[in-house]
Amino acid sequence: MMQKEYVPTSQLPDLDTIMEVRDLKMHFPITKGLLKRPVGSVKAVDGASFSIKRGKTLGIVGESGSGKSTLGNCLMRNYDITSGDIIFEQKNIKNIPKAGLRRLHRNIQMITQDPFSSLDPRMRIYDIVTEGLIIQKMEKTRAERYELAERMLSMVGINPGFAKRFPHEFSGGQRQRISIARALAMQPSFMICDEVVSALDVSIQAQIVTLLKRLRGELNLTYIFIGHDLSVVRHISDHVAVMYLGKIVELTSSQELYEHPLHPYTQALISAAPIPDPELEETRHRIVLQGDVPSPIHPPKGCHFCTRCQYTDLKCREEEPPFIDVGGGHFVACHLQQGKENAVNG
Amino acid sequence: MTNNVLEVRDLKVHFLQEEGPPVRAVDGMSYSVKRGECTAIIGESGSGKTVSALSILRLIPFPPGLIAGGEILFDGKDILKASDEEIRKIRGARISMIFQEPSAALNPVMTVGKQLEEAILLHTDQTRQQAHEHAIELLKMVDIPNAEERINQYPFQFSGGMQQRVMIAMAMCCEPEVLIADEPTTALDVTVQAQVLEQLNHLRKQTGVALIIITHNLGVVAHYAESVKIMYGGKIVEQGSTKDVFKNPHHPYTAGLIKAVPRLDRPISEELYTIEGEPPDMRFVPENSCAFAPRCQYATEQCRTMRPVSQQVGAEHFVSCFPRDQVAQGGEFQ
Repeated sequence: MMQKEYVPTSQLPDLDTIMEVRDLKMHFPITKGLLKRPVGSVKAVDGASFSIKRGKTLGIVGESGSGKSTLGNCLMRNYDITSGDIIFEQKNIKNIPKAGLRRLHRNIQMITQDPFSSLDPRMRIYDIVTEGLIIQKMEKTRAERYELAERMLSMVGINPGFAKRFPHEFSGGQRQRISIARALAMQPSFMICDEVVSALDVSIQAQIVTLLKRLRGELNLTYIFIGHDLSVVRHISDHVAVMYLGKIVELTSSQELYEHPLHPYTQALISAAPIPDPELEETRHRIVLQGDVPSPIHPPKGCHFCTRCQYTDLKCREEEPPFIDVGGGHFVACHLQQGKENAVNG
Repeated sequence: MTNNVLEVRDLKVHFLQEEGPPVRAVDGMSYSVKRGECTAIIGESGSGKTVSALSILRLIPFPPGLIAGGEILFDGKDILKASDEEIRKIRGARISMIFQEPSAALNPVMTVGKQLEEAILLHTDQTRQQAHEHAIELLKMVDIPNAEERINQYPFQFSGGMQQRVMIAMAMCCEPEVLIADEPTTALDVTVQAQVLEQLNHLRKQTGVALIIITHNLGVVAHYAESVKIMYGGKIVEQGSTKDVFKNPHHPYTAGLIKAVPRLDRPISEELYTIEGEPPDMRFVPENSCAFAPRCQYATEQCRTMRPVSQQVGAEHFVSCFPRDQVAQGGEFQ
């Protein structure tokens, strides 16, 4: 476990690709009794593969329990992953020890959903923004830290004069900006945004999304943008991965996803998201899925979506569909699409 | 007999503070709801949308809450003047409400059936046996499979979407004339949200109940609501038929909100419009001004010193804004 692996992704390292994930699995054991005897596992992420180019944004969309946040946490290495590879900057980070993680977190930062619980109520804003420097042992004088905090705050649109205030003096949108400033203080190259606008009001959501887009351009950041609102995720992302019950079922460019969704789940998700245009809505056809998402402890055999899919046949219930490229980097895991291209994996 | 089942006239709800003047959470709100229609109230947190709905059911606790003025006419009678006895006969029976978080609204230590029966027994003179059968019927009505077995289960054995269906069943138990749904799907997943909304809309068509949906999701409004009221700072700033308001917004807040939502059918290269600033802190909104003025690009001296009154700009389309004509013509909003 302790050995450091430096595995190039191929003979000639692809410098454009900042992260590559291969067949990532995260199973949480369910234990029983005093001896913590394992009796099963929650397959939160059950085989995810994708790669992200530098400066691009990958959106991950899915319902609660689809494993999208677990996936984000795995990429931060907040969990010890069950299997698979995470290659970040040409280096496999799946096994790096605790000490190496600190180093990793200079480059990968995460912003979370709830701007109320993610900021320590007893710390002043400039302490919150620069706390990472102390943890990373990048010691600086108090004055230097204060100056850095002011710079970061003005970058995210908070008056730097407020640096000595406490979190409760700020609204939800402002707190989310402070969370972003804290992440940026580490000068990361890669940011995981986990449902960062879900708790905010509509007019504030647009502000934060626009801010994230601006920062991406200015600082050449790469994002993973996790969310449940397809229209928001699609707006900020270059590519979107749709997750269902621990698996990525479709992955393609944001434009293609709306124009040519191939997986029945993606189609249902798009049709379930109403568009704010009454005239358009009159003519839109709605696919209403029946039932609920099955438990990730006992996912259905075969295709995980087979219990709710209108096209299900015998093969779907027996055999797991491979994740294939049907052309132009449009990946989908569905038997209906099979035979259109070569399988890449599985 | 008018066509309106509910009429709210100049409703004012204040919250008293220990120090300083009361917070005017709802500050002069007038609207009407037609029989069997689906209307939506849109607003951000703190805009007073939930408070205004709770006052229809007289559920504002006093103190600190205080209904400071106005009338709420239900079936021609003023709810605000009704006695406690009278309001209990209306609340839950003729006007009912469902809330955002179904898991918090259901009692975790009582079976779903018992909770439904309790509501039925309270409002009708059915026997226990009849109430039990009625409860099963209600669960079937909201498409809960195996209703006969499910009725003896506890709320934790239901998923979020199913719990919300139970809430709907409970709200529908006495065939109400008005059903208020306060963010009924905010806590639910997108696909489950569609199920619940379709269910509500289906029930409305079946029973003729008037539906008031309180939400911040413009898409939901566009799909389900026939008319819409946009709230900002405790007031309705714009109201009208959904088509008119979405197509031809006259208030800068409405216009900005519609452009601030990313749309699935638009190319992603399109920039989002952002309304600068934050929603107002209701403690500090001056009485004689437009609450939106600090965030408004059209604001003039008049907006900061006078309160705009509701003006008609189209058939059933009303707006409270001084520079409304400018907004409606404003090229950048089209």
